Amino acid sequence: MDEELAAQRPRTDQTPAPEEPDDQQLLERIAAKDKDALNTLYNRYMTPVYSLSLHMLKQPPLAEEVTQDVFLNIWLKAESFNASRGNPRSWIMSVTHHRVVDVIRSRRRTTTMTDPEGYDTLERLPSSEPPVEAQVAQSLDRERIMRALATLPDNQREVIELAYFEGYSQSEMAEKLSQPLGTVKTRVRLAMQKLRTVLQEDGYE
Amino acid sequence: MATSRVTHPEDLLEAFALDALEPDEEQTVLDHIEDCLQCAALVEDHLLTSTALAYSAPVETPPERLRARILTAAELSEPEAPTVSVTARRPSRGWAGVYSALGGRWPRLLMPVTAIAAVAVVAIAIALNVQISGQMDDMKAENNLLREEMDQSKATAAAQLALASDSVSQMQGSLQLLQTTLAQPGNQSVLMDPMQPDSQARGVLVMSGEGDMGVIMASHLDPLEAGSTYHVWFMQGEERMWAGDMDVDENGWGTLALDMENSLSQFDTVQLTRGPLSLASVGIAGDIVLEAVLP
Repeated sequence: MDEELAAQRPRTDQTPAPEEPDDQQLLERIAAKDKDALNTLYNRYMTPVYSLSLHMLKQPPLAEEVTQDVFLNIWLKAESFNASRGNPRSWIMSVTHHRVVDVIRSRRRTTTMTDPEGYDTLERLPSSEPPVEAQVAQSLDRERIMRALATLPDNQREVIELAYFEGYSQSEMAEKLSQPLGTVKTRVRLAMQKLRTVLQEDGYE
Repeated sequence: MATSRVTHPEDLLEAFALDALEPDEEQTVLDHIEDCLQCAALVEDHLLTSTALAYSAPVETPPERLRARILTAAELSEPEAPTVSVTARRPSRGWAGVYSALGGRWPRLLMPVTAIAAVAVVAIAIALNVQISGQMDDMKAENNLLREEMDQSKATAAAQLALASDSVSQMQGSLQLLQTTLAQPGNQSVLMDPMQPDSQARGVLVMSGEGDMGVIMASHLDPLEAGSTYHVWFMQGEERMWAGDMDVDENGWGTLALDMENSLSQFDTVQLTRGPLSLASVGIAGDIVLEAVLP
């Protein structure tokens, strides 16, 4: 059933239609200052970039700021992308995550976010809805990844969530969890290896 | 013939992909994967996993106006235009390139517009010794309004600043808003004095009554050399908190808007220092240019 479903849907909302340029081609055109290519890339990645930013930062204005930073810097630095060192999707999302972590750690130095959920009460502005199929695809991906996360032991899932979604370094996690740094490092390594295996077995690309 | 054994930082690669390393560890990995294709491939493999994690975030869509902001800013931007800061908290990732342009400037929420507006406010406040006064019913609400308006114009203004020399006149509306915001009872201003006897530098910190918002404005600052910047710090005892970097124009004027979660009143002193861009990432100040004791 899952295979049938997978065959009927795009892998993610970043999967271009056959007549559309792929991400690599878009980045090459962006490097040549083709604004239409930037717009196309934005259509493709606005949702995952903004979703990750908002999920981690909790505040729509900050998420917008990060999203703008990411795409503006893609515009300015697209030529620096090295296709031999990875795929554009990983590059864009890792740049996004890196930027969000910068913001989180910068803010953590100045404030104690004791109640991040409280930020959810901020007013949400009208959004541009992505195509329904894109939303469905990303939701399906999300379910698949959540299933993979669920296979981790609690203590491994905990460090992944703290590190990736809350921006903690391994040293900070060791302090927060009152665990030896070596223990935290081991959990991180085992968790990433397990996730990788599970996702590969699940056919996630 | 001498031989060397390469040490691969394999135990750091998973955490690297999660952005969970300390800056020195991260630099170790960055340096290593520049030349080690084997570890670079492992990193890329782990980044695929961390990218998958990114897709576990609940699906949210950005407001449509964000597209217009980005495209407008891109259209007006030149590749090296100062629309983004180069003050990265952490080292740039050579293979990823764009990191170097991503970090650092976050506390400067209102930078492009207030850079002009606040300079004019300094001229009014210092040169004319104007006593700011007015009424404040809901300072946060007004500042949110101001931030929203400035946010809308930020991308456009950033590019215009690089192209136009008469931007001050274009920002009169924003100036009026900022003046209104600052002209509230309960606001406090603190003069910042130069630490060098022969320095002409002067500064002022204007902060809200609650101490959670403020603007630092300075004049007669020396031009910056490449790779250096002015850092703003707040000190509480031995602890030093970096509040942001201050842009300085060709006339020696600089400003930094502050939007804090906690009150500035908890700090003892404020300093403006001059030093390399990277110092803030490790919490080390450069040479102290201006300093003031907070009330």
